Amino acid sequence: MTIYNVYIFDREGQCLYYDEWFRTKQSGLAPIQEYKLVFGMMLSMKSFVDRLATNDSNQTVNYYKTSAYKMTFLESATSIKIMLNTDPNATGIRDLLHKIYQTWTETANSAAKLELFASNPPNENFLKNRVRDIVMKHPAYV
Amino acid sequence: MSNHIQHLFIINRAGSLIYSWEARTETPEVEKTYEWPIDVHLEEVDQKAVVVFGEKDGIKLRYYVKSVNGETVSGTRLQLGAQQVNVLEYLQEEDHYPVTVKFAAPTVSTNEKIILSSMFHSLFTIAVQLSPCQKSSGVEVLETTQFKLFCLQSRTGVKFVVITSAASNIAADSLLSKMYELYTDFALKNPFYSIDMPIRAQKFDEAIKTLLERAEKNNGAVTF
Repeated sequence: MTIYNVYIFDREGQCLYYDEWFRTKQSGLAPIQEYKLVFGMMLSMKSFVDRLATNDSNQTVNYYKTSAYKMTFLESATSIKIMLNTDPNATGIRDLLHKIYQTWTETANSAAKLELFASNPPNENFLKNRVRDIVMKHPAYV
Repeated sequence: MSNHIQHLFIINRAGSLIYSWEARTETPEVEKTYEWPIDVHLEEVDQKAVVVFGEKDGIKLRYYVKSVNGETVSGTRLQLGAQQVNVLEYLQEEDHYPVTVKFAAPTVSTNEKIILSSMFHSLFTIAVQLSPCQKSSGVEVLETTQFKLFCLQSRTGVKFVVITSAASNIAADSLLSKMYELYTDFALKNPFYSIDMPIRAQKFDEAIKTLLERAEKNNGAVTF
């Protein structure tokens, strides 16, 4: 069991954050192109499932799974989207996504306040260290 | 009993839908009488008057206007005597109230199934490209809060897709393998069948129906 990588997107599809741990295969695209492809795939998947399910209006994609990996989705009410790639058999990933989202919101709020009062914008490692700490403590890691 | 299996699709190598089956279910409908102003927000989506805001009394997002005062709505056109009016404009006039509107849940049309099959074909391929590790297949399981989708791709690139309810724990692998077997028996061995074209064989339809009945009874495990 392992955790491969994580993407965080805003509502317009800008990639706010990317990190990877045990990724062994690159997509062959430039990072910016890959982020666009991931976001586009998620939009298509949402459109796909919306049209297929006629029961109810509130529906979200939980995850998709292939033979080699599993991508779990989390979308907040403000349309922040987090996608986490893990081993297909990893468990407890939804809780991990919620923790990452919580870390993201806290860090984004702190960064916004800092930008108002400090001359230097917050360091990028400010978020990276916190996310890595959460991920590496998770049982699905390694 | 409740149907666990909702949809079946067979998609050819190029992403075209060559077979589909759908469980017969009652489409929910809601009728309500409104005073001015109407508190449901409607917009034209895909040539229908669709609810985009204001869920209430069983009327949900994506429901569309089916009839007004008992008169059937065709797309967004309402027939009033010899005259045709836009139903969205009709509901904007205070003179027409009180008004009785019937809403219906959306259904998946044949054209939409064709579009969705092509869409799934693309998603399947992109999932391989975006894999963070080597030798990944495309999407095998897709789960949402409403349903689960299972996909089996044959060596020759034909995809067998089954969609079940979210609560179902059906053994989809067994069902998909059996579907593949029926496909080879009734489609590929048919001397009049052109490869990659829609399957129109009565024996295939009957075999699929029998398979699904057995799958529902045995929770997807289908063996001889």
